[in-house]
Amino acid sequence: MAKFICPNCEFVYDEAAGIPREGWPAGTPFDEVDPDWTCPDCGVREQVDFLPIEEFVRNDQDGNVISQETREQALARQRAELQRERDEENA
Amino acid sequence: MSYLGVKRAEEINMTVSAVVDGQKIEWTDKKRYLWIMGAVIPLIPMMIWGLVAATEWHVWWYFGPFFVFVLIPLFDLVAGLDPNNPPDELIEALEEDRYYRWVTFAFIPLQIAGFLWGCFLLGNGTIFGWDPFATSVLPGIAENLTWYDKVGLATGMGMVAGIGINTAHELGHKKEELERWFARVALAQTAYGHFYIEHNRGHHVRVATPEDPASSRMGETVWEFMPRTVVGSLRSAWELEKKRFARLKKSPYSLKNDLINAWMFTVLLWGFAMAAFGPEIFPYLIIQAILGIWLLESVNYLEHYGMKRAKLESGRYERVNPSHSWNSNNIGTNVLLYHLQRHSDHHANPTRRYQALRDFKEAPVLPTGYAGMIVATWVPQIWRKVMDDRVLSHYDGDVTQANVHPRLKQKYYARYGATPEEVTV
Repeated sequence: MAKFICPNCEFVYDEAAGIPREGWPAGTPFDEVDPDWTCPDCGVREQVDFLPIEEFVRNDQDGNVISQETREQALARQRAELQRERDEENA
Repeated sequence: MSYLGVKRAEEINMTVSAVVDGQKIEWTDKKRYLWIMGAVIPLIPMMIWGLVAATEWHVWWYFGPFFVFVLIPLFDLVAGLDPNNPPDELIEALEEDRYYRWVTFAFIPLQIAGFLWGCFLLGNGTIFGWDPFATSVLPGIAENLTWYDKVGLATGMGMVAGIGINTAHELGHKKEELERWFARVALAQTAYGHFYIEHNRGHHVRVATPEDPASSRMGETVWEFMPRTVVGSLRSAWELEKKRFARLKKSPYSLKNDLINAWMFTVLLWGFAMAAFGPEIFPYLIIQAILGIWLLESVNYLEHYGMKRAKLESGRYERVNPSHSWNSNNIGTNVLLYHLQRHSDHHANPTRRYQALRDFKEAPVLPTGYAGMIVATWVPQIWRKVMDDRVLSHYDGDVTQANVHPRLKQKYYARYGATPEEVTV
């Protein structure tokens, strides 16, 4: 049975124990938990944001909290801008 | 080294330190002992008694709103700003310093004491039929309170009640069960027990989106916002618990329902007060609860005014980041509200303790502390004049990025020069 962790507040979902209070009895696999179920401690991460505990390095409480999606979009924008600048220089 | 009799901060233990990679890092919390001032608020009913007894002026019964809307904003103007942040390496050590926990715990018994003190005065100085000060209500107060004295006292109790919701807010976000129960106790005075569920599981999830009843929209007046947030939050809280009980395949009408067990604290507290001091205090209990809720919801109104999270291609909203809440570094209100005004960090990291919350340079900043800003909400024209340009400049002049009230969308888009296609969106 695997464990999953909230990347913000480090709340752990242990499949063996489940969270009976939340309606997930012991033994509920994590992928059977509703995708929009929010972390019961911080409320700002959902089931889809949780990480397998082995992959967890440190929490994302760095004050510059942006989602992977936002970060990728921002990077893509930056890259496009750089490219445009380079194109302008070349032209 | 000490000069003018002032001890260096380190000597009186205001400094936290940690060793990271062999290097010692130190930081001094200049507000460490100021935090105790938060526990002064629940003493307002006692202060009122002292002021009336000393001067015999009836106007002092209205000291509560004067304290919150005049003295605290002045305190903010005089005390100035504190933009200091603890270094990242010390946040853990700072959170583990249990002193800060006792500061918030101290509020709770004082709040209950202040509430009962007020009820004793409202009930004309008898407790279970016993009249401890036979010739007066309390020493210095010879005659029973008039109805307008009692209304005044109830406004003061309401100010404490509202700020009590703020203490409940700090405690209710914590992972420890004890603190979560304390949160329910602090909410008993206002009968706002559902706040603990709705705020953590509803508001924090949907903050700065049009779906959140507790996030105000650009152009929305505080008076329109009030019924929307009060009714919407209650409904949402009930839906959240109903959903949880549906998963448990049980009826939500149960003491295990966190709304019902939180409301039970109100039944106990108000029930005791009416048994002890007389059922005729009931209308004043209602007045103070309404004022407390109004004070709390006023703060909700200004915390996210006009802020909107962008919708991502996946259909989810972008994560809450520092740009989605209004902040203030005013020392006065920050100390009295346990850093509530470092609201951006709070929304990014909701379980973080008040003493460790930081100021972010990229977060939008209010012109003064929350207390003074509440006064500005009273006249919507003034509020819009102060805030609308600030919302707009926060979004670099692009009004389409703001959370604009649907009723005013055409008007705002036209005024701030959004193109016609965007108006129809």
